Amino acid sequence: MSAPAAVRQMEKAVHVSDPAHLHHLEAGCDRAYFGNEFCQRLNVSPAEINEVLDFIEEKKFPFTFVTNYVTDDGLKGLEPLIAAVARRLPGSEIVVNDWGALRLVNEKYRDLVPILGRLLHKMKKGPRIAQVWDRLPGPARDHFQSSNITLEHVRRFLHGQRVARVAFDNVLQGFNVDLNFETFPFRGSLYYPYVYIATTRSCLLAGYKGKLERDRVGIFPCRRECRDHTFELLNDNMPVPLILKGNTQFFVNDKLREENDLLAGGIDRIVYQPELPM
Amino acid sequence: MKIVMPMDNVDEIDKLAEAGANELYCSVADTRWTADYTYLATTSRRNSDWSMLSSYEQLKTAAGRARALGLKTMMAANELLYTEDQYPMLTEMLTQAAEAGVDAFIIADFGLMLHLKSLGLDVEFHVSLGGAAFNGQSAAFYRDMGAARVILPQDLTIREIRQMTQNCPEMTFEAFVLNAKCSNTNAYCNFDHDLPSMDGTKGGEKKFDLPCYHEVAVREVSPGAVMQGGCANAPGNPGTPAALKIAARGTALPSLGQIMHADYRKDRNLAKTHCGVCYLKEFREMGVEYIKVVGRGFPLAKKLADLRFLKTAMSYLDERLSLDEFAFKVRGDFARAFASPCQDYCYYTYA
Repeated sequence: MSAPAAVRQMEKAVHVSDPAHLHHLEAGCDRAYFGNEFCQRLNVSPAEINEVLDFIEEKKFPFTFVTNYVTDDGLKGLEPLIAAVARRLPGSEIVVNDWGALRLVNEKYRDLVPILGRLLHKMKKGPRIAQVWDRLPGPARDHFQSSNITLEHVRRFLHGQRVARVAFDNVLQGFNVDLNFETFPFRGSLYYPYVYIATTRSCLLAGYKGKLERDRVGIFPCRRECRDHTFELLNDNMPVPLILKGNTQFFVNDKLREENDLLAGGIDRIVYQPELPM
Repeated sequence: MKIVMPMDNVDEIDKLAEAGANELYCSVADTRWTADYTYLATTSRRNSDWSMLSSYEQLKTAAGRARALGLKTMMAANELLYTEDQYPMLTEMLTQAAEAGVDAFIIADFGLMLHLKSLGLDVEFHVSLGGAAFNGQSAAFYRDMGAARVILPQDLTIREIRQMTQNCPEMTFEAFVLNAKCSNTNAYCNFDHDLPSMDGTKGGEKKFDLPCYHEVAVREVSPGAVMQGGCANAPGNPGTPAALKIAARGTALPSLGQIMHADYRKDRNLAKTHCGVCYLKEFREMGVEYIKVVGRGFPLAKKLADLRFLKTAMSYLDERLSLDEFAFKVRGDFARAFASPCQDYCYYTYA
């Protein structure tokens, strides 16, 4: 790690995805994240985003709006929210997890600063990799601890898309990426403590009536049942419990690398999630 | 409308062509790659030698034979992510494949798409479903990058596909219509795909089968309990995963994924075949030009059965049938071809 850690400070952001959880920001933070990464059906209404923005303005938090992957309908619903953030809090950041959303932001909302979200900044995240770590050759270990952000042509392209920050998950195998590149430098945000592994549009919670119906798989209407139910999926072969919240599987990794170590590698923001981000 | 079929060895090509395939897609095993990265991180998300051609020499033979029969050949380089150390070997592989005569690469990682363009190879690329083009804007994003085709994610509804084709009419689209459909969104599933076959052999350790086949005990918990659980069974800090141990947990129950991912290979049952063929009429009407069959590693007999079923369905496209009448006929054929009704395994189930 090459950068002098002393010149930087770790920014502590708090991320909530449900307006009912805004109280978590009351205790204070360096930056507020709001929005959902995984399901367009959990996006707030235009009225709700204005309430969220009222809160953010009142607290004077620097703001990052978090967005999900979207269908055309989803993008149509998302755009007024993006527009509201751009209008009321120009200069704010927007986490993109959909290339179409990034294209839209760059076309029409250049007052917002895009960040590559953890759905688009890929790493292998299944906790089971840790089970075979000893059996993996060195190059495979290096691969599983890295991403494509170290490639100059990737960074050049992303800079061209106005992206200079990427999101990391706190994967169990650890990551070994130094973002202090001489060309097209990047900064990183580390999400904590919920590591997202996989998501689906065939949500088992859609229409949930007290039992997960395994034979009923498809894209069905929902009433945000995910907000009320959380499941552990336990298997002897997984080193940690999997958590099913709505359409997404997570695990908890509440162990962070030393702050100075993270800073030295260019991770200068911790995105703390006090609730499962659904 | 053209059919894109999986191909695992040269001997299949004539039979697939004869049965009506228009394009073939394949993967190539490279022992240098798997020596370094094992079968957990192959170039093509296949974890076994029997689902890949064994060499670029074989690819050259395959592409040549396919071309002679009027078929195009695509090579999958569709891992979701490639890292910097992999690029020298990856570059060599792409170059060899281009020289072997492939017509297109199937790519998920935008970094590799950019790299391919910089290599100046005269080979187009198609955006894998791993590229996550869920809307017209993302299709346009990939068009801007030079993509010739977008392979649609498996978890879009027919209505959503229609919107995409309308919102990016200049893009060519391809849709999956037969066999295994992932329970998770392919592009956003970061599980290790398959651990049993680190050495590429059949029948590895069962406990390292696809995570979505795992049996899991399901227990509803409060969000607070989730946090208390933390990494209790993961004593190693990140970076020292060797310290992790398997911990016995709960009673195994039927898995969610085992049922959801009703994969032919898993169940050895032709009936458990995901299918979206009764939407062909809509696909044609909305301009989806290519339909794709899953099945690298499947037996040739299964591929030929799939082609017979598809060709029969396509023969109805020019009949004066309503959408419902078309679907009714196709479902009847499905039941006859695979000895089971199809409704539990629909690609495009939605409400």
